Amino acid sequence: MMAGGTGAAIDNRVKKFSPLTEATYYILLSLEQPRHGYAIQKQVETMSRKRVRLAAGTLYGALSTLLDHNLISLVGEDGNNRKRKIYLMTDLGRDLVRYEIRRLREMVNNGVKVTEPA
Amino acid sequence: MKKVVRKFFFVWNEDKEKRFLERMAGDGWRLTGVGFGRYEFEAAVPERVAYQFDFKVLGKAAEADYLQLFEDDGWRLSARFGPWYYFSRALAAGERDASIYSDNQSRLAKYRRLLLFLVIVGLPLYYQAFFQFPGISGSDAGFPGFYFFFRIFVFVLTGLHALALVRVLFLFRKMKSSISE
Repeated sequence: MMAGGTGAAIDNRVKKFSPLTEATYYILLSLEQPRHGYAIQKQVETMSRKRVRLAAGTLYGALSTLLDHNLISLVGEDGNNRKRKIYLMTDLGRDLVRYEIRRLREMVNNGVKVTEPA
Repeated sequence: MKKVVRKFFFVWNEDKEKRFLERMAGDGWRLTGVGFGRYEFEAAVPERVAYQFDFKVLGKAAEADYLQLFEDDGWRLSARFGPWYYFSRALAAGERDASIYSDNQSRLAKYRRLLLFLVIVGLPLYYQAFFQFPGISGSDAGFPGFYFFFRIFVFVLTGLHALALVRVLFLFRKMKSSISE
Protein backbone atom coordinates (compact mmCIF):
# COMPACT_ATOMS: atom_id res chain seq x y z
CA MET A 1 0.00 0.00 0.00
CA MET A 2 0.95 3.56 -0.55
CA ALA A 3 2.34 5.64 2.29
CA GLY A 4 0.19 8.36 3.85
CA GLY A 5 -3.53 8.95 3.91
CA THR A 6 -3.82 9.99 0.26
CA GLY A 7 -3.31 6.50 -1.16
CA ALA A 8 -6.98 5.52 -1.13
CA ALA A 9 -8.06 8.85 -2.63
CA ILE A 10 -5.55 8.47 -5.47
CA ASP A 11 -6.68 4.89 -6.09
CA ASN A 12 -10.27 6.02 -6.39
CA ARG A 13 -9.39 8.51 -9.10
CA VAL A 14 -7.49 6.02 -11.25
CA LYS A 15 -8.95 2.57 -10.62
CA LYS A 16 -11.85 3.14 -13.01
CA PHE A 17 -9.28 2.96 -15.85
CA SER A 18 -7.94 -0.39 -14.68
CA PRO A 19 -7.19 -2.96 -16.03
CA LEU A 20 -5.32 -1.29 -18.85
CA THR A 21 -4.67 -3.09 -22.10
CA GLU A 22 -1.08 -4.05 -22.66
CA ALA A 23 -0.84 -1.44 -25.42
CA THR A 24 -2.16 1.36 -23.21
CA TYR A 25 0.07 0.37 -20.30
CA TYR A 26 3.19 0.44 -22.45
CA ILE A 27 2.22 3.71 -24.15
CA LEU A 28 1.89 5.33 -20.73
CA LEU A 29 5.26 3.94 -19.63
CA SER A 30 6.96 5.25 -22.76
CA LEU A 31 5.54 8.72 -22.09
CA GLU A 32 7.63 9.16 -18.97
CA GLN A 33 9.67 11.07 -21.58
CA PRO A 34 8.07 13.36 -24.18
CA ARG A 35 7.62 11.38 -27.41
CA HIS A 36 5.67 11.45 -30.65
CA GLY A 37 3.75 8.46 -32.02
CA TYR A 38 6.56 6.87 -33.98
CA ALA A 39 8.99 7.26 -31.06
CA ILE A 40 6.40 5.61 -28.78
CA GLN A 41 6.23 2.59 -31.11
CA LYS A 42 10.02 2.26 -31.13
CA GLN A 43 10.33 2.66 -27.35
CA VAL A 44 7.61 0.08 -26.65
CA GLU A 45 9.31 -2.35 -29.02
CA THR A 46 12.62 -1.86 -27.24
CA MET A 47 11.12 -2.19 -23.74
CA SER A 48 9.25 -5.38 -24.60
CA ARG A 49 12.14 -6.82 -26.64
CA LYS A 50 9.97 -6.66 -29.78
CA ARG A 51 7.15 -8.68 -28.25
CA VAL A 52 4.68 -5.78 -28.19
CA ARG A 53 4.20 -4.09 -31.53
CA LEU A 54 1.74 -1.20 -31.61
CA ALA A 55 -0.07 -0.96 -34.92
CA ALA A 56 -0.99 2.55 -36.05
CA GLY A 57 -4.76 2.20 -35.54
CA THR A 58 -4.35 0.81 -32.05
CA LEU A 59 -1.83 3.52 -31.15
CA TYR A 60 -4.08 6.32 -32.43
CA GLY A 61 -7.11 5.00 -30.53
CA ALA A 62 -5.16 4.61 -27.30
CA LEU A 63 -3.61 8.09 -27.56
CA SER A 64 -7.02 9.73 -28.08
CA THR A 65 -8.50 7.88 -25.12
CA LEU A 66 -5.56 8.74 -22.87
CA LEU A 67 -5.82 12.40 -23.91
CA ASP A 68 -9.59 12.46 -23.32
CA HIS A 69 -9.05 11.26 -19.76
CA ASN A 70 -6.17 13.60 -19.09
CA LEU A 71 -3.75 10.71 -18.50
CA ILE A 72 -1.35 12.16 -21.06
CA SER A 73 -1.08 15.68 -22.43
CA LEU A 74 -0.02 17.28 -25.66
CA VAL A 75 3.24 19.14 -25.06
CA GLY A 76 4.36 20.20 -28.52
CA GLU A 77 5.17 19.29 -32.10
CA ASP A 78 8.19 17.70 -33.68
CA GLY A 79 10.69 20.23 -35.05
CA ASN A 80 11.16 18.35 -38.34
CA ASN A 81 7.52 17.52 -38.96
CA ARG A 82 4.84 19.63 -37.29
CA LYS A 83 2.21 16.97 -37.93
CA ARG A 84 3.93 14.77 -35.35
CA LYS A 85 2.44 15.65 -31.99
CA ILE A 86 4.48 15.14 -28.84
CA TYR A 87 2.87 13.72 -25.73
CA LEU A 88 3.83 13.34 -22.07
CA MET A 89 2.33 11.39 -19.17
CA THR A 90 0.43 13.51 -16.62
CA ASP A 91 0.52 13.06 -12.84
CA LEU A 92 -2.82 11.28 -13.06
CA GLY A 93 -1.30 8.95 -15.65
CA ARG A 94 1.61 8.22 -13.33
CA ASP A 95 -0.77 7.41 -10.47
CA LEU A 96 -2.57 5.01 -12.78
CA VAL A 97 0.68 3.27 -13.76
CA ARG A 98 1.58 2.85 -10.06
CA TYR A 99 -1.87 1.39 -9.39
CA GLU A 100 -1.47 -1.03 -12.29
CA ILE A 101 1.96 -2.11 -11.11
CA ARG A 102 0.52 -3.02 -7.71
CA ARG A 103 -2.34 -4.89 -9.33
CA LEU A 104 -0.04 -6.76 -11.72
CA ARG A 105 2.38 -7.62 -8.93
CA GLU A 106 -0.48 -9.16 -6.97
CA MET A 107 -1.51 -11.15 -10.04
CA VAL A 108 2.01 -12.43 -10.59
CA ASN A 109 2.52 -13.28 -6.92
CA ASN A 110 -0.71 -15.25 -6.80
CA GLY A 111 0.16 -17.02 -10.04
CA VAL A 112 3.54 -18.00 -8.72
CA LYS A 113 2.05 -19.20 -5.41
CA VAL A 114 -0.36 -21.51 -7.23
CA THR A 115 1.88 -22.85 -9.98
CA GLU A 116 5.16 -23.08 -8.04
CA PRO A 117 4.24 -24.11 -4.48
CA ALA A 118 7.23 -23.94 -2.14
CA MET B 1 -2.37 3.82 -67.34
CA LYS B 2 -5.61 3.97 -65.40
CA LYS B 3 -8.43 1.56 -64.96
CA VAL B 4 -11.85 1.76 -63.35
CA VAL B 5 -13.56 -1.33 -61.97
CA ARG B 6 -17.22 -1.24 -61.03
CA LYS B 7 -17.81 -3.61 -58.20
CA PHE B 8 -19.89 -3.51 -55.09
CA PHE B 9 -19.09 -4.97 -51.70
CA PHE B 10 -21.42 -4.90 -48.74
CA VAL B 11 -20.03 -3.49 -45.54
CA TRP B 12 -19.95 -6.95 -43.92
CA ASN B 13 -17.85 -8.32 -46.79
CA GLU B 14 -14.70 -6.39 -45.96
CA ASP B 15 -12.62 -9.54 -46.30
CA LYS B 16 -13.74 -10.06 -49.88
CA GLU B 17 -13.05 -6.44 -50.72
CA LYS B 18 -9.60 -6.73 -49.18
CA ARG B 19 -8.79 -9.86 -51.16
CA PHE B 20 -10.04 -8.25 -54.37
CA LEU B 21 -7.77 -5.22 -53.90
CA GLU B 22 -4.81 -7.41 -52.96
CA ARG B 23 -5.31 -9.50 -56.09
CA MET B 24 -5.41 -6.32 -58.17
CA ALA B 25 -2.13 -5.14 -56.59
CA GLY B 26 -0.61 -8.53 -57.38
CA ASP B 27 -1.66 -8.04 -60.99
CA GLY B 28 -0.02 -4.63 -61.07
CA TRP B 29 -2.98 -2.36 -60.31
CA ARG B 30 -2.60 0.00 -57.41
CA LEU B 31 -5.72 1.51 -55.87
CA THR B 32 -5.94 5.30 -56.22
CA GLY B 33 -9.57 6.08 -55.53
CA VAL B 34 -12.83 4.62 -54.24
CA GLY B 35 -16.39 5.73 -54.95
CA PHE B 36 -19.78 4.13 -54.56
CA GLY B 37 -19.32 0.73 -56.21
CA ARG B 38 -16.35 2.12 -58.09
CA TYR B 39 -12.61 1.47 -57.76
CA GLU B 40 -9.89 3.42 -59.58
CA PHE B 41 -6.50 1.89 -60.21
CA GLU B 42 -3.21 2.94 -61.68
CA ALA B 43 -0.72 0.62 -63.37
CA ALA B 44 2.16 -0.18 -61.03
CA VAL B 45 4.80 -2.81 -60.44
CA PRO B 46 2.99 -5.98 -59.28
CA GLU B 47 3.56 -6.44 -55.57
CA ARG B 48 2.27 -8.29 -52.56
CA VAL B 49 0.27 -5.74 -50.64
CA ALA B 50 -1.93 -5.79 -47.55
CA TYR B 51 -5.02 -3.59 -47.61
CA GLN B 52 -6.73 -2.43 -44.44
CA PHE B 53 -9.86 -0.35 -43.99
CA ASP B 54 -10.43 1.92 -41.06
CA PHE B 55 -13.73 3.54 -40.18
CA LYS B 56 -13.26 6.94 -38.63
CA VAL B 57 -14.98 10.30 -38.49
CA LEU B 58 -12.29 12.92 -37.98
CA GLY B 59 -11.87 16.69 -38.09
CA LYS B 60 -9.15 18.27 -40.22
CA ALA B 61 -6.58 18.71 -37.45
CA ALA B 62 -7.14 15.27 -35.96
CA GLU B 63 -6.92 13.72 -39.42
CA ALA B 64 -3.42 15.13 -40.07
CA ASP B 65 -2.27 13.62 -36.79
CA TYR B 66 -3.97 10.31 -37.55
CA LEU B 67 -2.54 10.00 -41.06
CA GLN B 68 0.97 10.84 -39.83
CA LEU B 69 0.89 7.88 -37.43
CA PHE B 70 -0.07 5.57 -40.29
CA GLU B 71 2.57 6.99 -42.58
CA ASP B 72 5.25 6.53 -39.93
CA ASP B 73 4.11 2.93 -39.50
CA GLY B 74 4.61 2.27 -43.22
CA TRP B 75 1.01 2.63 -44.42
CA ARG B 76 0.00 4.56 -47.49
CA LEU B 77 -3.42 6.17 -47.69
CA SER B 78 -4.62 4.73 -51.00
CA ALA B 79 -8.10 6.19 -50.98
CA ARG B 80 -10.77 7.67 -48.80
CA PHE B 81 -14.47 7.11 -49.21
CA GLY B 82 -16.50 9.09 -46.67
CA PRO B 83 -15.55 7.78 -43.24
CA TRP B 84 -13.67 4.83 -44.77
CA TYR B 85 -9.89 5.09 -45.00
CA TYR B 86 -8.20 2.64 -47.37
CA PHE B 87 -4.63 1.94 -46.27
CA SER B 88 -2.10 -0.28 -47.98
CA ARG B 89 1.38 -1.53 -47.26
CA ALA B 90 3.79 -3.69 -49.24
CA LEU B 91 4.43 -7.02 -47.54
CA ALA B 92 7.96 -8.16 -46.79
CA ALA B 93 9.10 -11.58 -47.97
CA GLY B 94 7.53 -14.23 -45.75
CA GLU B 95 5.00 -11.77 -44.28
CA ARG B 96 1.48 -13.07 -44.85
CA ASP B 97 -0.66 -10.12 -43.86
CA ALA B 98 -0.47 -6.86 -41.94
CA SER B 99 -2.97 -5.15 -39.69
CA ILE B 100 -3.58 -1.61 -38.55
CA TYR B 101 -4.74 -3.01 -35.22
CA SER B 102 -2.57 -4.96 -32.84
CA ASP B 103 -5.14 -5.89 -30.24
CA ASN B 104 -8.68 -7.12 -30.12
CA GLN B 105 -9.97 -4.16 -28.19
CA SER B 106 -9.07 -1.60 -30.83
CA ARG B 107 -10.35 -3.92 -33.57
CA LEU B 108 -13.66 -4.10 -31.71
CA ALA B 109 -13.73 -0.32 -31.29
CA LYS B 110 -13.81 0.08 -35.07
CA TYR B 111 -16.97 -2.03 -35.30
CA ARG B 112 -18.47 -0.18 -32.36
CA ARG B 113 -18.01 3.10 -34.28
CA LEU B 114 -19.48 1.52 -37.38
CA LEU B 115 -22.52 0.25 -35.48
CA LEU B 116 -23.11 3.65 -33.90
CA PHE B 117 -22.91 5.25 -37.34
CA LEU B 118 -25.37 2.73 -38.79
CA VAL B 119 -27.83 3.33 -35.98
CA ILE B 120 -27.69 7.13 -36.38
CA VAL B 121 -28.02 6.94 -40.17
CA GLY B 122 -30.81 4.38 -39.83
CA LEU B 123 -33.09 6.36 -37.53
CA PRO B 124 -34.67 8.62 -40.21
CA LEU B 125 -35.01 5.61 -42.50
CA TYR B 126 -37.00 3.60 -39.97
CA TYR B 127 -38.99 6.67 -39.02
CA GLN B 128 -39.95 7.16 -42.67
CA ALA B 129 -40.79 3.50 -43.25
CA PHE B 130 -42.78 2.76 -40.12
CA PHE B 131 -44.21 6.09 -38.94
CA GLN B 132 -44.54 8.38 -41.95
CA PHE B 133 -45.75 5.89 -44.55
CA PRO B 134 -48.66 4.32 -42.66
CA GLY B 135 -50.11 7.82 -42.14
CA ILE B 136 -50.14 8.75 -45.83
CA SER B 137 -52.26 6.90 -48.36
CA GLY B 138 -51.06 6.86 -51.98
CA SER B 139 -53.90 9.09 -53.23
CA ASP B 140 -53.10 11.86 -50.72
CA ALA B 141 -49.64 12.32 -52.18
CA GLY B 142 -49.08 14.97 -54.83
CA PHE B 143 -47.44 12.55 -57.24
CA PRO B 144 -48.94 9.08 -56.66
CA GLY B 145 -46.65 7.38 -59.19
CA PHE B 146 -43.52 8.92 -57.78
CA TYR B 147 -44.70 8.27 -54.26
CA PHE B 148 -45.18 4.59 -55.02
CA PHE B 149 -41.59 4.19 -56.18
CA PHE B 150 -40.26 6.34 -53.38
CA ARG B 151 -42.00 4.06 -50.92
CA ILE B 152 -40.47 0.94 -52.52
CA PHE B 153 -37.06 2.61 -52.56
CA VAL B 154 -37.24 3.45 -48.84
CA PHE B 155 -38.36 -0.10 -47.99
CA VAL B 156 -35.49 -1.65 -49.96
CA LEU B 157 -33.04 0.70 -48.28
CA THR B 158 -34.49 -0.07 -44.86
CA GLY B 159 -34.21 -3.79 -45.56
CA LEU B 160 -30.57 -3.45 -46.64
CA HIS B 161 -29.85 -1.32 -43.62
CA ALA B 162 -31.37 -3.88 -41.26
CA LEU B 163 -29.33 -6.59 -42.95
CA ALA B 164 -26.13 -4.55 -42.58
CA LEU B 165 -26.89 -3.89 -38.93
CA VAL B 166 -27.45 -7.57 -38.21
CA ARG B 167 -24.37 -8.71 -40.14
CA VAL B 168 -22.07 -6.16 -38.51
CA LEU B 169 -23.53 -6.96 -35.10
CA PHE B 170 -22.82 -10.61 -35.79
CA LEU B 171 -19.18 -9.83 -36.70
CA PHE B 172 -18.92 -7.77 -33.53
CA ARG B 173 -20.31 -10.55 -31.35
CA LYS B 174 -17.97 -13.09 -32.87
CA MET B 175 -14.97 -10.91 -32.17
CA LYS B 176 -16.17 -10.14 -28.68
CA SER B 177 -16.22 -13.80 -27.72
CA SER B 178 -12.43 -13.91 -27.94
CA ILE B 179 -10.89 -13.82 -24.48
CA SER B 180 -7.66 -12.39 -25.82
CA GLU B 181 -7.14 -8.71 -25.22
